Amino acid sequence: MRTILLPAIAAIAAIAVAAPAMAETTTRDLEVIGRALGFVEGASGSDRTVAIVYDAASEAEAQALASAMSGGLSAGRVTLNGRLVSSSDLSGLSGVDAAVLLGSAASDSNVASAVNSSGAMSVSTDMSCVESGGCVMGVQSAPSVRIVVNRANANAASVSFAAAFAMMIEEI
Amino acid sequence: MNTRIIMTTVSALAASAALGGQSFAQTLDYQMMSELFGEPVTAGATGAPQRASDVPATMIIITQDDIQRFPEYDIPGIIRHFGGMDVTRYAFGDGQTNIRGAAIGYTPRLLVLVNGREVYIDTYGYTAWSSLPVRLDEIQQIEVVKGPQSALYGFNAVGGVVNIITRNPAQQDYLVARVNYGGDEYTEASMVGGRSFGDDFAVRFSYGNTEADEFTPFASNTYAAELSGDRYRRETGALQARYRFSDKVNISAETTFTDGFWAENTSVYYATSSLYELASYKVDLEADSDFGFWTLSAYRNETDVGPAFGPLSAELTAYRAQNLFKIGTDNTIRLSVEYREGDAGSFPQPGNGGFGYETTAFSAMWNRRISSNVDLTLAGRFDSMDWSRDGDPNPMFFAFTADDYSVSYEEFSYNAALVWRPESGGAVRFSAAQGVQAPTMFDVGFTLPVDIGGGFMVGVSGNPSIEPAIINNYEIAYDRTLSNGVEFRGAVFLESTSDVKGVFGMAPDLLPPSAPVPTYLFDNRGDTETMGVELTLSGGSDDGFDWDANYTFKAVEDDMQPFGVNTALDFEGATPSHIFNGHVGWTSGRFTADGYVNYVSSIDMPLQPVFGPITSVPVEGYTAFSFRGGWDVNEHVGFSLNAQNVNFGDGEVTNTHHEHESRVWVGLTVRQ
Repeated sequence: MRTILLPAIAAIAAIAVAAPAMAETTTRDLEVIGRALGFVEGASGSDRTVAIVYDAASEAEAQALASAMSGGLSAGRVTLNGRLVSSSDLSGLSGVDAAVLLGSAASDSNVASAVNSSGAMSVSTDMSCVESGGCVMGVQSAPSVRIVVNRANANAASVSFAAAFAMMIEEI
Repeated sequence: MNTRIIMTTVSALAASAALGGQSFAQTLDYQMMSELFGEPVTAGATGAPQRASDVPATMIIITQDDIQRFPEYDIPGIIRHFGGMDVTRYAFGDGQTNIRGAAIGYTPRLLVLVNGREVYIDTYGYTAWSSLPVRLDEIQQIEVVKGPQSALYGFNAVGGVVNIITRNPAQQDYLVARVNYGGDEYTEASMVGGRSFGDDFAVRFSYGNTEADEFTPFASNTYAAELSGDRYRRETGALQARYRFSDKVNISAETTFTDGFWAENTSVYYATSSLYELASYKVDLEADSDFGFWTLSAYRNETDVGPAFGPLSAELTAYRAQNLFKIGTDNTIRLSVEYREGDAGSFPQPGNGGFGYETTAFSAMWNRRISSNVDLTLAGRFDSMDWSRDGDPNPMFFAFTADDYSVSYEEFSYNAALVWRPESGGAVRFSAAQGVQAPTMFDVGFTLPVDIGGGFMVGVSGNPSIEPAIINNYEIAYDRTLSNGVEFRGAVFLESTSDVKGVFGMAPDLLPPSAPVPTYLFDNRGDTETMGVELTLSGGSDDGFDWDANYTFKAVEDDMQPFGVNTALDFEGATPSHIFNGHVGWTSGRFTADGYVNYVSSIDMPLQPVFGPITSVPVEGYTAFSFRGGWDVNEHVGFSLNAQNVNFGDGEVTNTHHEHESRVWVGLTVRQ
């Protein structure tokens, strides 16, 4: 009977092939970010203002994301409203709930520091921002949803999450 | 020095826990979490909330959307379509269900919960599925955890766990009224709903009544034939209130009832019709603190069952305290203590002394994220169980005195699993578990004198010397979404059970002078081992089609006392080697259409048509076809046409008790 085990195991293992895909900052990423914002403690109401922080190289990408949020992008409990903020002029961060960092803004410690000190949640699809930079959250929506939270950066930004959410994501 | 180190460590842990367990200000919001992660979520595998792809166990999660697509009127009917599930329908309302093993009468290997409350019949550890006080329209999701789960759920979670979670009225207002009408006098009317009143108070209610003609019993089955003409009747109700004291503390109170009458197959493979009157009461207090998320639960089940061989009246009261918290960023801990007390009057014959048990259990679970793609989960539980009886059984028939029933069991169970998500995609799970199947009230305390003719008496007796059965399971599983969007799930498992608890055969286990009369005992009957493979594929297309198919292979080897002579158990014969299920569905706007096929290979099923003679009857393999069409007139009103097992006609032989009949019905739902 147990002789059937090895071929069966081999058959299952043989399916483990192919390479993973890389995610880009997309509307789907925004939806994941918006749904995650629904588990940030302390916020009230359903509207959330999201800053798109961009550099010159990522301006087109920023415009596309802002366009996706024009008129409000529904994401679970919340509705996202976009605001374009240039990384060279961060005054537009005032009053935002989250800031999506694009291009070199994701690796600019001054940008992350400014976002965090404003009490907003800094987030990027560039995972190096949350892993070694100043972002509170890193998000990938494809091929499957991956959410990483940097606890030290979250504490610095006074951002906290519902514990059920915290247990289902990666904390570093 | 040592003391200082320990104190330092404890302080560090407490500080970390305070940081980690910052906020658990809500119960798990299944819908929101599922939408966020793009997959079902569950707390059923470890007690901690997890994504389906992260759980350290092989699971099935059936959502409300899934439920609405099945041409089925009960939960066993739905479950039969999934891989690794064994369902045998002995009568209209008796769809016995097991995981990776024969669905025998009164299957005692499955722990079934509704919102965390045990709903199996504690006297024998079986699930009378028609007694569940839950309607399909109010279910958020059904979670099936395969393999022994004693370390999390305790005794009897040895084949696995079915956790039924109802919709949370605090998270979603809903109201569904349903009427089903079909052949063989099948009628079902139900209304379920949930509503919030302000931010802090919410109510869920459920009521339903189902009636139908029972399946036609086989004339050759004497006991079953006596049930000819019986009608199935099931009435259930539930009322739950939730109140939020603050963002961090909430309380829930629930009461349910079931009143029903239906045919069923018993553990000794003779048929009976039973009256069920059940009631339950449950309170949960949940509190988020700086030291974790606390859950305090208490519930009471009151059970009155009236089968042909005598009334069973029992109560189960359980209390549980649990704390769930994180230490640092990578360690999730669950600590739990539980006390439960089960009491029963003398049954089936009164006057032999009431009896019961007390169980105290401690359990712990540790989930460690070793790296971004490797998780380790270890869980253990220690149970201490003490039995007692407050009177001597009648010495004219029974060999045991009240003192003989003062027995104790102390058992340890564990679950260990490593989940590895390779760079190439998917998740691989390696798991090992040891479960404990404790003796039940039948096993220990049953007392029934039987006149087998001419005034010659024998005794049927529980056995205070019976030992718990120990189940070990080893499994490798792999889940993956392929590049074309097709989802693959596969598992290979090896499960062994030692000291199988089983009922008697034709030969008495005790003879005078060891007992006053020849006595049939509940006893340990040997060992059994099952090796199996499960394969599931599912997919869909942009034009509204979806499909899934699963295949399960099982090979069973029994090392048991002789079948028929000493026991009615025959896992080797009663377990189908091959089960295949397939489904194709289509959705377009307000229309849905679904077709299902189920194949179950041949088995040899035990049969006891009258007390004593136990035979084994071949049951040929069968294939069933079912269909459902749905039309939503608008967002509030929907119709469905359901055709279940359409090729069965007036009867297909799938068991040894009742002819399994096809059924066609129409359904009307009104939603708000």
